[in-house]
Amino acid sequence: MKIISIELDRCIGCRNCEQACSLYGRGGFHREDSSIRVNIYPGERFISTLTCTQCDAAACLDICPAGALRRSAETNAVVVDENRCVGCKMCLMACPFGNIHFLADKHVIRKCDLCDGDPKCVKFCMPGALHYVEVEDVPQLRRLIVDSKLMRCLVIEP
Amino acid sequence: MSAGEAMAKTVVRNGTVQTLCRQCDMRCGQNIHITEGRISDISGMDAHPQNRGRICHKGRAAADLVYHGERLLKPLKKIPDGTFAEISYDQAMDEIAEKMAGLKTAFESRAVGVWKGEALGFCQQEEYARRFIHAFGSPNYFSNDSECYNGRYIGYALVQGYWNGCPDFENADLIVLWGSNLPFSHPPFQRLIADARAKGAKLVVIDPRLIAVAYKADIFAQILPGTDGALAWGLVRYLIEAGRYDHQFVQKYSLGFEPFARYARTFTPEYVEKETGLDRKTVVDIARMIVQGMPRVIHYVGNGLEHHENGVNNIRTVACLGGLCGAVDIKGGDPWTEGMGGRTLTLYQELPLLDQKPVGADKYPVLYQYRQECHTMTAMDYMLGKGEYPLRGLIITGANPVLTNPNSSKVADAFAALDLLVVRELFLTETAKQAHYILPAASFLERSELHFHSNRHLVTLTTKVLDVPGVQDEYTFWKDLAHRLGFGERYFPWEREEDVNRWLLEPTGISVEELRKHPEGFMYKPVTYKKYENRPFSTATGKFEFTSSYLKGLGYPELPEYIPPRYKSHPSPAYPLILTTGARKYLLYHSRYRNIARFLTAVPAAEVEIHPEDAKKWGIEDADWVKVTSEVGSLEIQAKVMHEREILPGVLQITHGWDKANVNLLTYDAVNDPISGFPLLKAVPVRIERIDPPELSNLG
Amino acid sequence: MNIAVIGSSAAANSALEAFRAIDQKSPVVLISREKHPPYSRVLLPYFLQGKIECDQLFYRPADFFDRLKVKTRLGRSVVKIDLPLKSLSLDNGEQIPFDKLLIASGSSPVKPPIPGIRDEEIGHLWTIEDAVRVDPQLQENKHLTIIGGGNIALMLAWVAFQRKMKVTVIEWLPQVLPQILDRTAAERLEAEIRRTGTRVLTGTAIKKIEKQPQGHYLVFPADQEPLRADRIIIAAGVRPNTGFVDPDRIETDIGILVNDRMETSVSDIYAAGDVAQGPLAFGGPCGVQALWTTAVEHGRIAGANMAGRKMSYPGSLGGSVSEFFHMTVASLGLCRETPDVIGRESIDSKRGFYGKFFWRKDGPVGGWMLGSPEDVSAFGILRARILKTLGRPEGERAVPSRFALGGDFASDLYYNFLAKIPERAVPPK
Repeated sequence: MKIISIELDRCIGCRNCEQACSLYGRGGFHREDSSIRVNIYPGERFISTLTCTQCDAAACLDICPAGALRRSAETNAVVVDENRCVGCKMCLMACPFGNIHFLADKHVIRKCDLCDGDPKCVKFCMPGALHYVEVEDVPQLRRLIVDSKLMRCLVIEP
Repeated sequence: MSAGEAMAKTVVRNGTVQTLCRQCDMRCGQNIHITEGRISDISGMDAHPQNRGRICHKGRAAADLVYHGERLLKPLKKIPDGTFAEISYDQAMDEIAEKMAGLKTAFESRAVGVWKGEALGFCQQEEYARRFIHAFGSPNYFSNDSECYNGRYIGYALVQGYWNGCPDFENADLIVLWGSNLPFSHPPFQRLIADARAKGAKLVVIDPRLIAVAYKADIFAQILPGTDGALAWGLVRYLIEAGRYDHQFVQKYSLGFEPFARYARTFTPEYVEKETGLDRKTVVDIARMIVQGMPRVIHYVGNGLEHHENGVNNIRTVACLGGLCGAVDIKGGDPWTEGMGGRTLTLYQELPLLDQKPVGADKYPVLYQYRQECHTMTAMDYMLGKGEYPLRGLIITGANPVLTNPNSSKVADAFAALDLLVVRELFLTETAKQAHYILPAASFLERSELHFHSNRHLVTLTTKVLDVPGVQDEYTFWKDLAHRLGFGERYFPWEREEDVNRWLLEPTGISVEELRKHPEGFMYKPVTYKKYENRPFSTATGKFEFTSSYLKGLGYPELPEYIPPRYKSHPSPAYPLILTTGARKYLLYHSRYRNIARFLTAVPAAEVEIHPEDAKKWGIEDADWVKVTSEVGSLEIQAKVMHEREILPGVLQITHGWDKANVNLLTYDAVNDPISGFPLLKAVPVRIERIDPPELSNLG
Repeated sequence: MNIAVIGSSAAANSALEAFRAIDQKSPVVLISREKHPPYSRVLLPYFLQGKIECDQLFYRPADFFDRLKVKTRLGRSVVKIDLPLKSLSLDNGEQIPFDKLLIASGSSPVKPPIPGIRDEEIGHLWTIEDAVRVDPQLQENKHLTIIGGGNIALMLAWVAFQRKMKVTVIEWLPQVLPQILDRTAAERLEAEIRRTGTRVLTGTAIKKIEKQPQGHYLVFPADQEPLRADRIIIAAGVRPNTGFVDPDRIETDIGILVNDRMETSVSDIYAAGDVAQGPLAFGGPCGVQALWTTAVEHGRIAGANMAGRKMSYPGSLGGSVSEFFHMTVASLGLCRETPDVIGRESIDSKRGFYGKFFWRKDGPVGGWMLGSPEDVSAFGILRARILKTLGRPEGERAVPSRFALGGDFASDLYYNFLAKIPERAVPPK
């Protein structure tokens, strides 16, 4: 199963991902509609980008009193059925990462559904901070980065 | 559905066509998805090395532009009451040719010029214009490069004979960005920088503002505008005093090192600190990082260094740093790229026309000699009758100088004085509104041209994706006009674009058919390194030049001497703040893309960025209306109070390209870098005052 | 092993799922007074609002019990739990033996002792039947009096207001939402509600209710003019359904007392949900919390333990979110100042956010907010932060760095406010 992996060290806060999520999911560029969020802290010169991790033990899935959330067999994402969601907001309270968002016009929630297996945010990430990769490969990605950095330390210039 | 959309015909009814994007100059590979005869989506081409399947929103919005409800579809002529009337293409072209012939008779050919904008491109599109105007008998080719690119090109070419627009970031150990926000201005480059960092490379960002790329910098040096030369010299001094530079390279392949090293000594840590505002420890840290990263150190300069009174020299000094690092033409450094060896369309050999005195060539000989570029700011004087001879007619293609050239009031006056102003455009821009004739132009999706990624020795043939009847591609326009003026047979004999492409490719042995099989680009030549070991640099002496005898011959100092910006050397109490301009917005490109509705949600309006301390001092709150005044003019605009780390106290920033709040009302056209002629855009002394919000009607 | 479960709402269903995730073999029988497949009380106001149809009240698929291989006795109630025999006596005389039992019988609404309240047309909003009955009663321009000022009362008032009724809310305590908000916040909320023309009477007892010959009622609040009510609905709290439980056998207080494994005082008997009086996150005596979240948590723990996996419940954080009169109200954790806990307001008037967060010296322990729906995501982050304060592993995992998370506001709130423990978290005394 694939998930969106975020290499925070590459993110420069262009917010193309937020715009893509909003555009393909809801139309237009509305940051508040995006299921991926880029938080920029100028004081700390730091950027934190986060989207739903489609947790194995999903707090949102557990709590929903409307049976509106389910696990997609195709993508393993936790997806919402807007017809069943009443907008009670219990899932917003349950997610420890604050990854569930509220659509005021429809009075339902919105969350990352991996765009049914073709996540748009990844396609619009020019620096390559977002990847859509097999879960098993994520540690390997990190491993490669660590290995390259280690290699660099060990090389001695003649 | 807009009229344009209804008329447009895609090359296939359903399917995916691959081409290159030209929404900016990165030329990323695109997949154009076509459903039932219209473009339904645009995504990134996986196989193209420029972007590897990723795309930005500007690229995706190409279809929005092509189908835009306000797209120009018919030629327009200005009629006596000041409005535009639709006329036929033939009528438009006949009248334009007639008027050009008239100007030639009344004044001489050189009274007419052409002006090519960024929107078009820099390959054969540019060459069509250059060819045309010389064939007409005028040397007056103008372009956006009077204020972009050439400063860097000349700065580097004076030193090492070449400029590489995309050095080998991926393999570098240290990347130093000078006044350049690459993720916004050149998005694919950021991926290369990120790749390098993932392998342990370090990043230094030098800029007055906390730009996006600075969030990833190991050292962020928030420097005072226009003082980068002092920093560069300070680093030079450090490297030379420490003895940490490429001695062999300097000894064997350079000249002028002695006077260069002597001059460097004057850049003491105290002086550099005072001049740049950077703590001396920061400067030492950068120098140490350079030492550690050698030789795979890349120094990359952006517009941030060009748009100053001493831009070229500051850039030259940075280029010299590259030599000291030993990074010249190496992997992970600054490769000396080679061309494809195809034909050129320009006529500089056949019809040099130097005796016709190209506008600005006397004042800025280096600009003309290096780039055959006439000087747009000088042209304004010529248009207003204050030049050496009259400039009465102008054909502008893909440019919007009324918004993007400095001193906009003067630009508007100059254009208003022309007998003939022809504008080729997709939309009714501020410049188009002043035209006598407007011709609807083909977008990049309607043209098939050769494009180069010279850093990769790659040539790609773009695909014509759709056809909008009544709208001409670039070649067709120039050809049709040339034929009416009597030099079409000789200089524009090809029937169509594709025939031109073939002609351009012929000597290389690469065929159009071959290129069609490689939408991901075709490598025309392997990349090699350290070519200077076997052949001279393309400088006057063949050496890497710390000092330039060529410049000396023209009356300039031979060393890239540092001259402080005027706000430091001649501070004016009437203008106590420093305005920098042109900071990039990801979704906008100069004056383009504000007509895409969703983009305006993200970038709604022009604003002047101000430090919170300054805001407090001048009684300004976020979103207040203010008036910003320079020696040149004044502007009413809304204020944006930044985070205290995002901008320096005493510094303001306004992004250009907004017609309702045009910062070029404030910028200098007549304060220029003496070598490139580039205008002072990024260190303009100004003052600010809070005002009442203007009447809504004034906002148009 | 024979498993019996009493109840079919949040705690019971959550327990079944947790149990079956471990043990697919043991036979399970579920007995519930409710005839319907599992439905959610949380959804009843949305049904009355017209947002969902009746069939969408069922929050698990129709074949839920079949899929989990659970046999059911729906529409039956338990009369007695036979101990030490370990058998259930149902109202139809059937005996159901068990090896392990889960009591998740929930709670029922109370009728305050007001003269005249025992009228068959004065009911509650608790079951599907209540909702179906109340629906046509909410008629435009009629007067509705709601007895009670808690979450359900205010949500009902909001729905009735949206359906263009004239609404009066009468709360006996000095403020609405006494469990959740402090006085200032409650007053702010009351002011917002009154702005709509809805009457809110707080600190007001009702002397009596008199049915009139024409069919409507007169309600007599203490020290006030009587008011006309075409309809009266009671939403004055609930009480655990322990009627069939022998307190001499199974220890009860207000509800059935359970330990951190949801075990009652009798081995092999568990309790969960509204009926249970279980551990609270901040320690102290066990408490009854008639909250959906707590019921789900109880059920998961009970189900796992019944299947043999020893899981400990670290205690409920409480936590509720509701929306009425254009305001979203959320609360979580400890929301009262004590010698150890100080409260600090967080106000963003541009956003319409009015909240208060409570700190111990080792971190945030709770908070409430009045604001807009999107701001509730900040409380998801707060939950993680509170868990971290409590030293719970889920808290550690969920808050890996001091930078957060979620959208700008939630993230800013976290970073600027919640991440930094105020200096005077332990006030001097």
